[in-house]
Amino acid sequence: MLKGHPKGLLVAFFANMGERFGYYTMLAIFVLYLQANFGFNASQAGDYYGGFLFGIYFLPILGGIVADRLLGYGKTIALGTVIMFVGYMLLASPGFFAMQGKVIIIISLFVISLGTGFFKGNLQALTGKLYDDPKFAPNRDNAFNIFYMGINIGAFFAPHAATGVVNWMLSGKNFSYESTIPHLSNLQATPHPFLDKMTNTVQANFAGVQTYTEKLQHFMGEMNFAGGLQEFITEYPTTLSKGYSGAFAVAAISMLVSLIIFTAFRKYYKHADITEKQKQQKAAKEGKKDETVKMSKEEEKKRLVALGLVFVTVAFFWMAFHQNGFTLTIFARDFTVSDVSRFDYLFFDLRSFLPLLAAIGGLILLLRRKSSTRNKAIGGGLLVVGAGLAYWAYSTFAANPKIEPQLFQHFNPIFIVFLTPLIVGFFTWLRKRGKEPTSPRKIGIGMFLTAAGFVVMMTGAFKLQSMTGLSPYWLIGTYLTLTVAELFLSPIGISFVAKVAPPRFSGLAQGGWLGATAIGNLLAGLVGKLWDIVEIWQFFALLVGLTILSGIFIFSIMRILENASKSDQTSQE
Amino acid sequence: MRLIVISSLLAGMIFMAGCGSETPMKDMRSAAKEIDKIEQQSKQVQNKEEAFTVLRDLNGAMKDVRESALTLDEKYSDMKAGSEEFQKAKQSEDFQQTMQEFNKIRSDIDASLAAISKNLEPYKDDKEVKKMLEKLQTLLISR
Repeated sequence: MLKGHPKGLLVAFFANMGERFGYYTMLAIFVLYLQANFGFNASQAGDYYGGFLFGIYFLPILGGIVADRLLGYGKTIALGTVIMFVGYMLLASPGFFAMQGKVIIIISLFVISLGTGFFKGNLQALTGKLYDDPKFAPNRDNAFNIFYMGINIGAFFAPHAATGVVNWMLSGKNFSYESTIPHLSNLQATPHPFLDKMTNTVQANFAGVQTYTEKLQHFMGEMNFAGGLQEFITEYPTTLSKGYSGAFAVAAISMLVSLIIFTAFRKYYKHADITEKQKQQKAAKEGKKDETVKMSKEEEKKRLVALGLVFVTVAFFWMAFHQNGFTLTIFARDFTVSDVSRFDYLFFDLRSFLPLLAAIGGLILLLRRKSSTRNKAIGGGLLVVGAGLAYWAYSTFAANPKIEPQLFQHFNPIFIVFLTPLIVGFFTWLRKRGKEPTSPRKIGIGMFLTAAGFVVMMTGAFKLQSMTGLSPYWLIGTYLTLTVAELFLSPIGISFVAKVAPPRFSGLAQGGWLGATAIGNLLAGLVGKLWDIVEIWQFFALLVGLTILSGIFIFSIMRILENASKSDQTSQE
Repeated sequence: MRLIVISSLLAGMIFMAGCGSETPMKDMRSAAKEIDKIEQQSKQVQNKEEAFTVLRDLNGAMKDVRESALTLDEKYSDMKAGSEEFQKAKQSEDFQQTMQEFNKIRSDIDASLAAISKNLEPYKDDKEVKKMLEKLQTLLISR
């Protein structure tokens, strides 16, 4: 898979993986942390979350300007990593130093967003520059698929790391994780005269209805807590908060790892780490002829228009796609059966899921006609060990395991990691036959695939008219389809931006791509508000409709987009 | 033309998302009306599937009730449960008036819930109906 790629790609891959691991570790617990620490309800936490995500994806525009005009890519990326480290440490501090911290939280979120703004788009731009070399240029799309895999390896392990740190802190006080306790503690700590009365009313008419005090007492009994109720509602959230702070500290450490990788292996990307402005300055300083690519204003305008049109369309993709952390998680919690069979649970426990995937990979290696004897032996080994470990994990499962809604989040990154080699192989196979679709066409196909993913949800929602919960395979199927769509759209889109952006705006253009993601995130929140207003199937039908319209739009402007990516890079002013 | 299509889509979405709540008491009243309708629906229940649908709708309406109650409670979120400050607030005219209005709506909901519970009694052992009832048991205290 790495044949025909420069070594600098691996540096970008690992630096990005480290940064994304930290980011997703933080993100996995961020809303829960806000609720546990400040007693926020979902809407208040959502405001912080939405603002932060907007900053994360919008500030790369500023990062792009800083790199293009002032510092260059490498320095801006390194500076961004240091800023992110400071931000994550600030975020970790209230839990450890008992600081009162809404202001600290806001400052640290801004600092992290700023650091990410300096880092993210510019690393993409630098990766794109590695492929300006004609020797590597044909592999640009595939390179971004591989680069994208790094993001998702980081994202896959992050929630498990966050959960691990939190559980470790809780177990120190003989507590176990129970997501509802912070909310119940908040209800217990402050007066709720109206909710109390209403609970009593429902309790009088339906058996088994519990008050928050009863529920908290139930948890105290389960955890063998020796103290009183007041002590429990103070100690549990405080310990949980420290656990969250520990996870933020892990995020900070992973920024350091990313920085070390990026600076230690500079020699592999140093040649590409130069902006057009720096090239001009260097030429002037050395008294040499300015050999930078000059593009006519008209050509630049044509390219910027093409980029703008793509940005508008992909905003709709992110709007639909980012329902995964929002309404799809609510769907997982409220409309998906949580008691599953031990076989189903194989896909939700890392101890069984990873070996299972290794066994599948082994089987593919074993059965592949082109595999060498050595590879067949490795495949056989993976199959036996993977299947054995999966079976061992299976034998340890309870009779009726329960799945937590957030566990569905791990399907997207793991599908990316395992589908990327297949998609890259598929595109390479098509290219050899002269049938590989152009980047804009891949983006358009990705939009239709997104619609297909939500058709699955819409069909499932129809079935909910007569049952309480759907099988988890409905959501897994949707995640699979959305992941294939993402692989057609996101890495290819980044590659398209790298290819089409006028050289003097490389960093800014990547920032623009992330800015479109920011707008998509905002739209995701807005559309998500319809969840409680319309029927569930109507909600998914709306997403199907919007993504189909976006797909049609992309194909309607295909000529403009394809002309922009084909146009002569060396056209002189 | 394309710009018009995109702008209309965006504007439409923002408008629809903005169709939210008015005041907690109004929301509570409209939820009570909804629960009254569900009560009428529960009188016609003939089988477990219909019982399931009634409970599903009831859970939906009770979520609105929960949100309204929590919004009314927000006024006291800076106080401690059982504190003198809260005891004082409870004596205020504003609290008494709100509680009086709330109690009127609550007694309507109470009557509807009693009827619904009775009408669904024959189906309470069905697996799917049971699951819906379990959801109702913790609905008011979950988020």
